[in-house]
Amino acid sequence: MASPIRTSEKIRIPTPEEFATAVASRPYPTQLRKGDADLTWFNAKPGDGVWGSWGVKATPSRRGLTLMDCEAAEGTPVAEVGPASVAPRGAGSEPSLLPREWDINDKWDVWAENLTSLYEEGCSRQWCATQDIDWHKLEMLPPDLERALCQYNTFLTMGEYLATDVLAPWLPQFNTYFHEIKLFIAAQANDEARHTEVFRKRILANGGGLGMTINLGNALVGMGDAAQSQGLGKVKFHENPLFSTWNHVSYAIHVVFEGAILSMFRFGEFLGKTDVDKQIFRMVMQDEARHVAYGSMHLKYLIEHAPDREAKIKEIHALATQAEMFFLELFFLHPATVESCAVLAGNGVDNIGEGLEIYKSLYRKMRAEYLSRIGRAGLDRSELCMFPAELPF
Amino acid sequence: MTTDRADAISFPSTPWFRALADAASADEPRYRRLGVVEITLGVNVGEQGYRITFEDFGCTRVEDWDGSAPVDCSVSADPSDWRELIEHIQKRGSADPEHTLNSLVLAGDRFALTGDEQLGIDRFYRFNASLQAFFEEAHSVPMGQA
Repeated sequence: MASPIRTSEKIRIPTPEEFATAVASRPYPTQLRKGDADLTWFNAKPGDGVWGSWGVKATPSRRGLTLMDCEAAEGTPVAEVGPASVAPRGAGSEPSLLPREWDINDKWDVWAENLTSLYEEGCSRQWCATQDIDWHKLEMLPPDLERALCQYNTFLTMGEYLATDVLAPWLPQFNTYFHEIKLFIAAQANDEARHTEVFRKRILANGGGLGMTINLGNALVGMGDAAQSQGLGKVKFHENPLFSTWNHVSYAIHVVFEGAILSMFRFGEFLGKTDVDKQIFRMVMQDEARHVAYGSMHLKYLIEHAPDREAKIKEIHALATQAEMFFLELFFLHPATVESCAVLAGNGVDNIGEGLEIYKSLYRKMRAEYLSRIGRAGLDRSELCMFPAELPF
Repeated sequence: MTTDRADAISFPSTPWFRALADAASADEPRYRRLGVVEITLGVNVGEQGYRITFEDFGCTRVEDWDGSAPVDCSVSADPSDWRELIEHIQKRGSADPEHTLNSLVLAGDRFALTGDEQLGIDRFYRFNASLQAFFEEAHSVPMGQA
């Protein structure tokens, strides 16, 4: 960056010529002009602190060269705590490297046993909303079904925005030592962007249009009306207990929210009247299930490795109670969501009663799968779950 | 559809499911495009069980299954329901909207998706497009009587 030049009035930015002259007079260019290269990085002995390692040769597996292959070649277990440094894991550091404090430095805070393989899976199963959906096969639907699908997809679009907007700001908080979580969450943000894209394209591709925005979109700036009515008050995003720590974010988003959305995507595939709609929901379902797999296995790792296991379980139970209440009313009991699903399930607005029964059946499956998933991770909420066993209609 | 064609393979049988795997292998770029798949799927056709292993980009093993070897999850239905699914695929070239795997198991009245633990069942969702493509290979594998 250009060095400011102080004048009596104010700090002045140098001209390009002044800056070039100043830079040319500095020690390193001067040294280099004399033929004296620095070569600190080149001469450092591997492992002495300046250079990382040498002689590592990862061998590609049948899938190609995966991070798992690289880890096997490196042969160094991931430490429990990351260093206060911007260094990539395994790298050395220039002697003058400044320390960097990260907000999230503990393995138990981010890890899941399947984290690396899930990232690779996500990369391998990427798809393109523009080219990988057979848009030319889209068929016209009766107006009530098209309207219901557009409303459903408008709701899902908001859900995708919510996930991206909650998750992405956490990226700079993860220590670079745990590159796996940075990569996975960056990839997930891309997944969510693609979902937003594909739902928007579907809404605008078949004679319908964007539907009614619901309060789910306000989840970031506050707890929403549903939460306020439960006395939780209106709070800012970073004060929202659902999103206040990475553990909380992961539970609220990956386990509760995306677990529910996964069921919604499965339902969307089931409700799809055309091959194109089936195809769209099949693709987004896969991505969502991968995110849920991280959340479930992270929960398991967290419960097994957090310093105070009992306190952590208690904390997660309290969080789960709030998350379940929050999402039940924003999602499963919102008229626009209930009724758009019921119209699709009943195959028309005239048969909404039958559709409601199918919707309730989906809800029961979602609840059962949620409890099963967290139970496997070590959190038994069978007696505590705020999702009622049956929807009250 | 059930046929007496000379090249028909009896259904259900391990050779019939292997023929699906062979058809999938012949279309390897399609499966590579869908991405890595890592699931061991049980398939119950009435009393007959099959264990189908997917690794890397496709199906790597098909074997008889008595329910004792581990699977991530399994899909079960009566032989007549499986035949109906396959006949739809053979008539249309792909499953119609009422006969996709996810639709059938979500409806749950004729096809069941089960597993010992949810993360195994979730693999059915994670790799669903690959599994759907695999079963749609049935369009080129005639069914004979078992």
